[in-house]
Amino acid sequence: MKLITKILTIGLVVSIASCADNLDVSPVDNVNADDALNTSADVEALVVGAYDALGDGDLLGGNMQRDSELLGDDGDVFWDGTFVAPGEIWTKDMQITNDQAETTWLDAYRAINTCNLVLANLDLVVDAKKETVEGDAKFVRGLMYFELVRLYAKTYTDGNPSANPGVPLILTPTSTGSLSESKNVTRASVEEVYQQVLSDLGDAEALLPKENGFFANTYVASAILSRVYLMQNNYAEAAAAANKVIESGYYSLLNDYADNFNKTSAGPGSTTSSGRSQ
Amino acid sequence: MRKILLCVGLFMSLMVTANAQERSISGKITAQEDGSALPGVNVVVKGTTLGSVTDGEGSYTITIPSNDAVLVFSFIGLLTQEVVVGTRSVVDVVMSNDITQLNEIVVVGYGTQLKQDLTGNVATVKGDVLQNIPVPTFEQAIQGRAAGVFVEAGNGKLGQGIKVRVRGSSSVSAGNQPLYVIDGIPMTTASQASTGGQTNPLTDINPADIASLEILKDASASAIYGSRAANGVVIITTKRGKSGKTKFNLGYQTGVSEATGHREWLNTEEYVELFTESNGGLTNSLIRRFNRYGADPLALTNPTTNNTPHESWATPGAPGYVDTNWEDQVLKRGSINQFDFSASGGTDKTKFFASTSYSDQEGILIGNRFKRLSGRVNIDHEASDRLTLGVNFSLSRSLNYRLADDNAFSTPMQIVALSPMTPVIDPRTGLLSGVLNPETGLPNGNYPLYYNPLIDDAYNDRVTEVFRNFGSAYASYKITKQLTFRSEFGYDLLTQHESRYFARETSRNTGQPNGQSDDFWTQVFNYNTNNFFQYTNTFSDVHSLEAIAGMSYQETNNDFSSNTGIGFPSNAYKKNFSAATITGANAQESEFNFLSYFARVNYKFNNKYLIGLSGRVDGSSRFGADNRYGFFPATSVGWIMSEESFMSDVNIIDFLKLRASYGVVGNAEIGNFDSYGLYSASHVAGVPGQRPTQIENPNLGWEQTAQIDVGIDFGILESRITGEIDYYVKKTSDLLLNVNLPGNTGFRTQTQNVGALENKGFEFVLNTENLVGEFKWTTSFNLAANRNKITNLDDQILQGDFLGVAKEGEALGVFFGPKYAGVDPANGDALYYVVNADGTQSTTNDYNEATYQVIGNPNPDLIGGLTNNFSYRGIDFSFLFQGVFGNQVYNGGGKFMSANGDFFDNQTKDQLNRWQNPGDITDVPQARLFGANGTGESSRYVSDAGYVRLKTITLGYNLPSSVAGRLKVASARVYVSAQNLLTFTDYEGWDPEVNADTYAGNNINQGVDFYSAPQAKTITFGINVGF
Repeated sequence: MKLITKILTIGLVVSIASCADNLDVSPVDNVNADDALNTSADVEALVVGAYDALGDGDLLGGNMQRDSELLGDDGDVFWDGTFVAPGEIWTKDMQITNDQAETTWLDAYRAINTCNLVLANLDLVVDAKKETVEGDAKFVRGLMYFELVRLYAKTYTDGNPSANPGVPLILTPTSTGSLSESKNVTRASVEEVYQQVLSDLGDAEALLPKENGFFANTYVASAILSRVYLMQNNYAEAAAAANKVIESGYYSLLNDYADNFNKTSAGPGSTTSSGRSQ
Repeated sequence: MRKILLCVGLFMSLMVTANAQERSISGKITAQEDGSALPGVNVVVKGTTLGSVTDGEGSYTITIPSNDAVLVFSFIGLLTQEVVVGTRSVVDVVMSNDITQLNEIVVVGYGTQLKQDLTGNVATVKGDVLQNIPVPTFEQAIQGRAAGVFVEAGNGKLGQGIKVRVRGSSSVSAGNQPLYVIDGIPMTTASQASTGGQTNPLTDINPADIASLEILKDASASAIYGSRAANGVVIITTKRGKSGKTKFNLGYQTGVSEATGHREWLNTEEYVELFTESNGGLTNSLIRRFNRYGADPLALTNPTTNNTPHESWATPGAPGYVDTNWEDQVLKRGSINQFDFSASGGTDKTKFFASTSYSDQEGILIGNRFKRLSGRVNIDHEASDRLTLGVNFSLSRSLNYRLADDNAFSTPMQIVALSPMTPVIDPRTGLLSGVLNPETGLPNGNYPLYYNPLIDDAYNDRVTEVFRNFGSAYASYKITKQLTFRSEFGYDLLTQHESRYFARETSRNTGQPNGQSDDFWTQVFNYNTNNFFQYTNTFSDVHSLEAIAGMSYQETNNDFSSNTGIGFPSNAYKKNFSAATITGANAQESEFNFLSYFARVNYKFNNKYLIGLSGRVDGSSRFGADNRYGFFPATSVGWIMSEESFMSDVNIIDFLKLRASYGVVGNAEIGNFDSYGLYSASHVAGVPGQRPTQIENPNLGWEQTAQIDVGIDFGILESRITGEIDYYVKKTSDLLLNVNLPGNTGFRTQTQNVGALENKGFEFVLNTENLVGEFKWTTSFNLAANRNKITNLDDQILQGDFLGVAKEGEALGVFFGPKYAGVDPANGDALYYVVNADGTQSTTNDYNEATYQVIGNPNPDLIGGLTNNFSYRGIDFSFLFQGVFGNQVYNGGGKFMSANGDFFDNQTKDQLNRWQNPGDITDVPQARLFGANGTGESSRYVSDAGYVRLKTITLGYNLPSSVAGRLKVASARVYVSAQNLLTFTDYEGWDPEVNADTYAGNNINQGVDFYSAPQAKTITFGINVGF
């Protein structure tokens, strides 16, 4: 009988010891952060994630363009329907509860955080791809800050951009440790945000190759830079940046203007359009 | 003289023999209830090992040592009797049922206790009240029977999720349902539905297999289940065999059901009148619209020029005039047929219980049906004096013919939105309205007003098939007389296949011109082992000690896969094998584990003073690496005052116990990976990528509920009156809350331990034996009040759907929004209250100006139940009233169905009271088509929803044993029973017991009515035969 007791006791101890390890469960559908960024391919996949975030329906996948039009409208477009948020944007009478304003903000910073993660993990990227990966991340980040500062701050030429508050500039990835600080981040000035945009897009222009598959190439970066300079009323630089694209000979013009729209086949790397998002 | 002497001598010697020697006694045992013979009764000579058992006729013989002998007659469920034999040679005994509740054995976690020794609060529901109740799942049968346990079926659809709240809601974001443990295994209870409303995995249990349900309510009772006990624990114990002759039981019941409530809708004439008015006159466009809804043939051929009113709506009494009550098309007469068979018995060493059951319920909603086939075997075997073994095994298959969720055009109840002038059968095609537009050869795109749910019923399939298997084995080994080791291993396997086919005729709803099919496979494998020591001893007769200590490990694996395809040659092809295009495929898996150590000590001194200590350490994979283990202790004390000598003079009180408990329990019902940092796959134009989707919270820990409970148990007048009074305060802190993060982090929310809430309340239970004897009458009454209040939410207001919120200082789910102020008599505008800065109140017709305030509370002030049982000879009669008081319901469909003609949805009849002329006093604003006059979410759509329901009423007749004997059966009972027969309420909708299934997944959404089906009123006739 004592033997049975011993067996039971040993069995119990063994089973308890083995069970404790089982509490470390690895998620399967989504991947544990520790397992997500270990190789060059992991970081390259993160770049795709950044472009995916950029093309979200609430960002350049649609609503950013829509809301810019609604905001800029001076009696030429009309918004009707049961969707409250775009209606408020159109009437320029937005409530604090406007969920589009919230969603655009959240999704843009989600794309920015992804870019910051890429830039913080460049060491992992193989040399052959390092420049392109860095260029991609800076392109997406620069473009997002450019959109954010135009939607959530005064226009560059409205008053003093160095005094006007812009949007918070976050240039490092969010970590558990940085969460508490993130509550206290203040808005950088409009000028500071524009400087960051110029810096990011300038780097992207320099780093990105002529051919970058589906993603932005150096000319796309130049084209966006041209717009940034335009917003600053810096016409000389705007023209110079635009000329880089025009004179590259990389792109040709479409015969029919309408063909620019509702094209599903042409991506940002298409030779008839630059910076298209799907 | 010699003769006389001889006689005297003989007599004396007989007397001597009688005094000094053994003699034989015989007798017959009968039941007081019905006079039937009682077989299997134990007869023992007190203080000896001499014993006997009554035979099939209830007769026994026993040898007694002397006339001083005392015979003890005992049988489970009957009051034990002691009889002094004296000089009798025949001792007949009538035994009565033991209804003294204090002697009950109560199942607690990892053991049992005598009810009178309990220091915690445990509500027991015996299996017999769960039998023969015509509902798919047993929770519905305990409604009104356990104090402080709130049970709500959100709508009348069969097999859907049931809300159970033990002493209120203790969480905002994590789960609020109790933990269910069946024969030692924590069950999988979360809905596994991929489509439609939530399903209820508890429906896989046959209620007839349940011996008892114990609901552990306070912390001292539930802390042994630690991290998952904050919402209470429901312990399900299935039936086990008893030694003796094998008993067979056969039961059959059949019945019909219909809806508990209906709403009044506009008829065609009223509809035309109201919308002509709301449109500002019968314009050509309105005529064309009415012609379209009224199935005018010209509406198809000349849709833009057809300005002649059609007889279907314009001419009452015309041959083609149509007046359809759409509600009547979907609420129909349901039915139930249920067959139960069980056998139990065994020897002293081996006992078994086996059962099988088949149930087929057709719901009160068109197309809704639930079928279940189940079987169970439980076996216990004593291998030796020390070793006992046992196995339980059950398997069930259920088929649920489901409906779309409440917020879908295809759900039956949304049919009420259709215009009354629309015929059920389109006279132009002879088919259901909407199936075919003869002009296009395709289903109609704009006729009727909305997609017709009858088409869904006629052409679509939505079947969920679940195979459920519980298996467990245990071994219990007596190491010493006092110390036992018990090991249990059990599993719960749930395999679910949801299969849907959407026919081409339903393309208006699905958007698929050639049909769609999908299959969803889910498998949940959950296994659990409990290993623990039990120690029981009594020292010096006054110190009695019970202790357990052990460990438990649970692992649950969830696998899911699905496929979706479109394009089928015809409705004869329904599976994706035949699909033109596979549009979706998915595979997922997930897992969680719990590792736990637990211990409990109960000490009783002198049968008067009780102390209980328990604790559990729980570790779970769900929590952050830094906070993986939680400790959940509880302590309780009890004082049986009636055992004190100073109480011995108080004859009226024969039992009085004071008890108090305090403990901390937890809640772990969150996602399996909420504490992890996660990356998810994403892609751009087929290029695979990834991105972070969740930020890690390594500190995420347990939501904790500290509960204090004080109570009194009493028994007076020879325990003919017994009761319990409890007061409790449950304070939950470190809420598992999805907290908003600053947007610049790139993340929306993080699950954090933030916030607190509390539940306070009292419970009152009273059981009385009003009449004893041949005519018996017992009453059982319970009443409970709970106040829920969120005390800290980090200044957030969490929004549910419609106006439900979680807000500091208020109960969970209160309705927070504009308060409706009625109608401006001058112009018919809807008015709302504005609370000004100085506290005064004014009104406005601008909805946006209205002040948001608390306009209703879905949490009841009081819940209760009243049961009365009567029996006279073989006749038994019982009824249960169940009540919910002081709560409100928000009618989410109000802005469509009671919107004074805002859009063309048919309107509730009360909308005829609309404002029409200056000076009209009414609370229905002027009818304005597209005018949004009073249609904003507001208290206009809040309504009191307390109710009292005649939940169950049963009349039964037991055949006398003489008749039963002639029929060669041991017992036979016939009964007629009704469920939900009467409902008393002020609620304006279909039924006040409501919570729309679409929104029920969010704790904040309570008391929302959204085209939710009413409950079923069911009348059944049944028979039970034992042999």
